[in-house]
Amino acid sequence: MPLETIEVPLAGKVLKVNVNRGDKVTEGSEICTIESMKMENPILTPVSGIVKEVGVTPGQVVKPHETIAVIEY
Amino acid sequence: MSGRIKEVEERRSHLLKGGAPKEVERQHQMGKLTARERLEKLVDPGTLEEIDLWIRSVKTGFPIDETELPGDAVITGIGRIDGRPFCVFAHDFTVAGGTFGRALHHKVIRIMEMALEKRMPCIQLVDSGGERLQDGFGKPAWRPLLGGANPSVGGALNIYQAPGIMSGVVPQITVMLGPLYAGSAYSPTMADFMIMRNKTSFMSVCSPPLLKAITFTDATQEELGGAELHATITGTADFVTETDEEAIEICRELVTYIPLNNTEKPPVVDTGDDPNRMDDRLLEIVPADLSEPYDMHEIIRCVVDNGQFIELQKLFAKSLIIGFARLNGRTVGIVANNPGKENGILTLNTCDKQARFIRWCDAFNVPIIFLVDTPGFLSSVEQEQSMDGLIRTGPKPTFAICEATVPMITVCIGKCFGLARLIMGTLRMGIDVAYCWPSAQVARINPEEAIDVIYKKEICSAEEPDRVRRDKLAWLLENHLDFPYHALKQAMVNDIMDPRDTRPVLIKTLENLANKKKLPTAWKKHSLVPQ
Repeated sequence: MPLETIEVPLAGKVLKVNVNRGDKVTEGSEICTIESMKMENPILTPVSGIVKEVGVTPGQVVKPHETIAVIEY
Repeated sequence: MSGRIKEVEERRSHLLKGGAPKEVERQHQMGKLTARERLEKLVDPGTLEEIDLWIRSVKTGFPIDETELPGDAVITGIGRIDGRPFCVFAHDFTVAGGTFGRALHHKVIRIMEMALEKRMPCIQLVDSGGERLQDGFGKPAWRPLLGGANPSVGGALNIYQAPGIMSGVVPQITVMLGPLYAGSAYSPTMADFMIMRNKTSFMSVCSPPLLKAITFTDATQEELGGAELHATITGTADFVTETDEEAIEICRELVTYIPLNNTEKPPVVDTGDDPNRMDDRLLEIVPADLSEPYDMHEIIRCVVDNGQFIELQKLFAKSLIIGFARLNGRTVGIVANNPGKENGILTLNTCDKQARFIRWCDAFNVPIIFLVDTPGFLSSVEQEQSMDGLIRTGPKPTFAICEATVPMITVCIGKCFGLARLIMGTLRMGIDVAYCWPSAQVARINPEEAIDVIYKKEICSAEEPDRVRRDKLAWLLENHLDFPYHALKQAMVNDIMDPRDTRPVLIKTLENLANKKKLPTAWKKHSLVPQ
């Protein structure tokens, strides 16, 4: 099964994380929200599948290309 | 009356002191001069005619109203450098951190309009905390003079609009001696030349506290906008200096090469260097094998008056050299490949650097000398795929040369093949005269690449492809590309010269070209410079 790694697109702070390891997600659903530039940026999954790994926790400061989640699809 | 004069002088000397003594002391402790000390060093002694020293800051309704702000944190005026007039202004960091109040805006606009209408260059010495927020929020009580100062130059100018309108009319120079961030930094960055002092001046869109607030990222002033970053990576700074004094001295030297405005030629200086001087050192610099590096600066120094050359963007895109020198006392712009740095390759950054310089020389009546020896573009996946796109950025110098109307002379010293000819200028593009040295190798294509294309089948099917390639190359060089004569026979260059003659020949040719007037082309509002 292929893995899709969802990366942080822009530097900011994680506001909330909507998924846990093992959750089933559908394409387009919101994985987490990152606050940056005084805006809330929803991060969506581009694939449907199972969450294999979650790399962020709420309140965490993140940089571009860090792993938010890995989805097996 | 004498009592009133005494009072005037007392008040004046109070204002001339600038910020509070402890602020002045703090400025000195940081190793920085005050705004007034800087201006006194910039202009000839006693020549600063200050404008609006007496201006009163706007009441804002915030506690800052209780503080006296002499001159509203800026000194503006007209001063002389080597006897020539210049509009100058300097932010006074000892007054409210040199922040921009409404009165400051008024003063700076006035001096920019003065530069534009009276056709004088504008020099700014930057050291400021940016816009004064309290003033921005304040009551709109005092704006009658704003922008209305001089309708003939467009009326309501502001400090961000003026540099664009002045651009190409009068030269603009920024000397960064302290910080400036965000929009406030746009006005100084739009100037023609930038001198930055190391470790005290910083310039970026986002200041460290703002970056932290909006993206939670830590970065230092140095990382975001230090002199080193802007001199080496972004190319924004032409010069980096270690002290205020050095920065101001470079500014004074730079302006000796430039005219006051776009209708004049740069001043002619008696340099005392013999126009017929021949230099034997020119026989020794270029190696017999052109693939070996050598320093093009040496050739420049042998040719120009007294070896004096003021180089711009020296630490940026180092495989190309740009700067000003004099030939028989007259300013010339030098554009030269430097085989001593990365073989003199052309890159995205050399193209940007070169195009802007050519455009500047053209705007301000400075003839351009091209000294050519380059293997061509840096062929790499990274350059082609970069955000600047090699094929999008590459034509910029070509475009600039084709548009230029000033005298342009090329001296081919070493290699120049194919596309590189379009970057370094051909006769068809508007170069007036092209010379070469006996060491030159000029052709429409690199002979080795030509062999691989023309004899692809033979080389691929041969048992010893290298030998076939070598034989074919030798044949080609002997029968078709007999360097340096090939380019002469094809009229790609006009004449070949003894390297020792370079100086006298260039001086004579420049005299011949002095009255160049390009034939008019189709009417247009302006061209669309390649992005």
